Amino acid sequence: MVECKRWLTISRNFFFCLLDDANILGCKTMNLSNLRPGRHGRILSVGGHGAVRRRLLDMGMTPKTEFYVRKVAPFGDPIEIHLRGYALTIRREDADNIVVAEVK
Amino acid sequence: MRITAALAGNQNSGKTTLFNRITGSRQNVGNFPGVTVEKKTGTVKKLRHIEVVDLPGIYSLSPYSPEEIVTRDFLIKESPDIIINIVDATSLERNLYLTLQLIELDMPMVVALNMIDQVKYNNISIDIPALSKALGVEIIPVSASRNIGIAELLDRVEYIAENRIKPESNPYYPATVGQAVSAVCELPALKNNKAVPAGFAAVKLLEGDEPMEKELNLSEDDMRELSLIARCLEGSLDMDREAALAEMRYLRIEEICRAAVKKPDFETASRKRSAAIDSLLTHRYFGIPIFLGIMFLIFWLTFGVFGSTLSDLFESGIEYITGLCDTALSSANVNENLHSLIIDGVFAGVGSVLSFLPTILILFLFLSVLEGTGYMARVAFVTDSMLRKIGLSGRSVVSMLLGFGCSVPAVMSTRTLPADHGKKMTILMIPFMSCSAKLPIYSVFTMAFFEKQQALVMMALYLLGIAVSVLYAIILNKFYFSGKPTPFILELPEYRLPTASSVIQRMWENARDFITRAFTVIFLASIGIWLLQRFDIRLNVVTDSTHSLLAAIGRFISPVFAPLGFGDWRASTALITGLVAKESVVSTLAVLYDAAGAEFAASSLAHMFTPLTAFSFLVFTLLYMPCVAAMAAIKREFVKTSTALYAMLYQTLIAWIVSFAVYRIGLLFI
Repeated sequence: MVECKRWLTISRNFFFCLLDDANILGCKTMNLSNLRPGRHGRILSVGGHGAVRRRLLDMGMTPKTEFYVRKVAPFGDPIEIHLRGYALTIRREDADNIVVAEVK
Repeated sequence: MRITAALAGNQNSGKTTLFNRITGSRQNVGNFPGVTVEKKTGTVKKLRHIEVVDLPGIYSLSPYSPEEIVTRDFLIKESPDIIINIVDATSLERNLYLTLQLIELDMPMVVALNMIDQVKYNNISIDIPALSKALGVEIIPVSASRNIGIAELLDRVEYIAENRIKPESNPYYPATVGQAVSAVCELPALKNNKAVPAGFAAVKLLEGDEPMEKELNLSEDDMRELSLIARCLEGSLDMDREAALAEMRYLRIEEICRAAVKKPDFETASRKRSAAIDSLLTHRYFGIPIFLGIMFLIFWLTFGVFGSTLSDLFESGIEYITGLCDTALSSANVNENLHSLIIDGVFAGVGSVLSFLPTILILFLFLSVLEGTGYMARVAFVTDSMLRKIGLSGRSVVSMLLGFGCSVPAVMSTRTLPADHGKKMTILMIPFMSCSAKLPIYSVFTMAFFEKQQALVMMALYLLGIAVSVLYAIILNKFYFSGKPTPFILELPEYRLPTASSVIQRMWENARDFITRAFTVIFLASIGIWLLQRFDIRLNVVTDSTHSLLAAIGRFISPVFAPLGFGDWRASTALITGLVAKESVVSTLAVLYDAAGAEFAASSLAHMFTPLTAFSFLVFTLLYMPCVAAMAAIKREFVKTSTALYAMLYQTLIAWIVSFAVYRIGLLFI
């Protein structure tokens, strides 16, 4: 059920991404955790539930927000991203729930 | 008129600096009722009728973290006369998110726009009148660390609180949300309520906020109506309600900032500087070695040359005063028992614990520098992946490492952790880290029994402590905290130089806390132990320490330790005195054996222990319940005495089991 819902969001986001004027056909949707350091992205949707999801939204990871991945910690986790003029660190497992489009 | 002002703001916004700046040293530190969230109150310098409550640093008024719930409850139920919302001017977008929610509370409010000195440095320009107009609240530019604008801020606080000037409402909700909010406002439960500001309640209900639903006692009809409105909203915005409202606030903030703030396109100068420092300190390969190096340096300075000189100086100071009192009491011909109570009980007990004070001061000096600069967040970033496996986050690592020095400051340092189960687990794990006071015990025993393998045995003990704590954490996580991972979504603040006053304030706070405990809990415990040592079962003064009540108790409980290999009553008596301070274990053994010095180690211990039972005894000493000073610190952080007592009990039980296993397995090989 949850998995199904997730796929629904992902496919829906892909569809919206196609419609997005700035990225007509040029964009790739992926999970934030797959975006490599140095790359810029735009948030499409924040999945997950409960406290973690709410905290992500509260910290400014709302749809359409642009950000970039600064670096990954030793052992590859967590990751550091910059958005809204500040730096935030999140775990890879939480980043897995955030669907983004890469911005060139 | 007395004014209560609530100070609210994001973490790292300079809230504590501002609080210290306006209240000076007139502060009271306690907890919010029933939770482990710290509550600080203080009165304003020169304006004694203004009381300031320092609320925890939060990013939102969501109902998920204890810090946020405490803040909401305080603001709604205690209704302070004014909210001082401190906002970091260099990171306005994120800071204003909380501001918008505070405005929804519809209480008198003023915004303190902090770090205004940093704004110029970063080429940011803020049109304060425009910002103030857009938000509908008064904004005072300040710099808490540079003491800019504080007088004016207090002036406005007084004025706004006295005239009860509420934020000008300028509703910014888009039509769809606005309609939904007014529909929720029409619910009977909301119309009849007087306790919660209606606008705030409506928005929270729309967000799906469960505590608010309970608070307002929504009927089933109300709930049905509410979920209908919410579903309508979700349908028209094509987003779930939580995300929709968060996005709405941020869209509004973006709009405000576009009009009132000009800043460099990509990154500000101070961000770039932080990134440059981070390229070394959180480096993929060097990050962890650098962190370990810094910790090693801190330990070397605290427990090595620098700290031990200070400790020795302090100790000789205490000894000197004890000596003075001793002669004074003798010359005044005071009753012998009272004399002994004061000198051997109070002075010896409290004095031995107070001798930790220099250590604690130095550790907190370094700790507050680490915290003030922003490095602590990087430590969490660098070490998180290692600690996650045992259900913790990287934020606990420094507290745990401090445990190798002394459990007392280690436990006290957890106060800055978020009040979730990660904090509780950290506190439970700290006593297993072998503290420096246990070192003398190890060295005496290893010298007597393991002369050739001294280093190996010591290392084995340290590693065993870590292994047991990790195992304990895994078990706690699985059965007690039901496996919920500690969330880890952390801001990495810009590097800043902490002000000397904030560092000293932090040191002083902890020192005061520790001294208070030394003269209450530890004072009583010292008297208790003295009574036990001084009298025998018939309450006669003992001449031979082997007949004291303490020895009797030692004899009574010694069978408990027989399965561990050290059923000797002197060993169990030593363990009891170890509760006052761990170093006493050795001195008690010496006294009970009626020998002293180096001779004692070599010859007499061999009569009481074999190498195997000695090792079993060391394992028990490593793991059993901590000294009273640490127990008092743990009790303070756990709030409930019963929880702390259970923790001590479990810990001793674990010590027994592990020692038992070590001894029995050892027997198989010998």
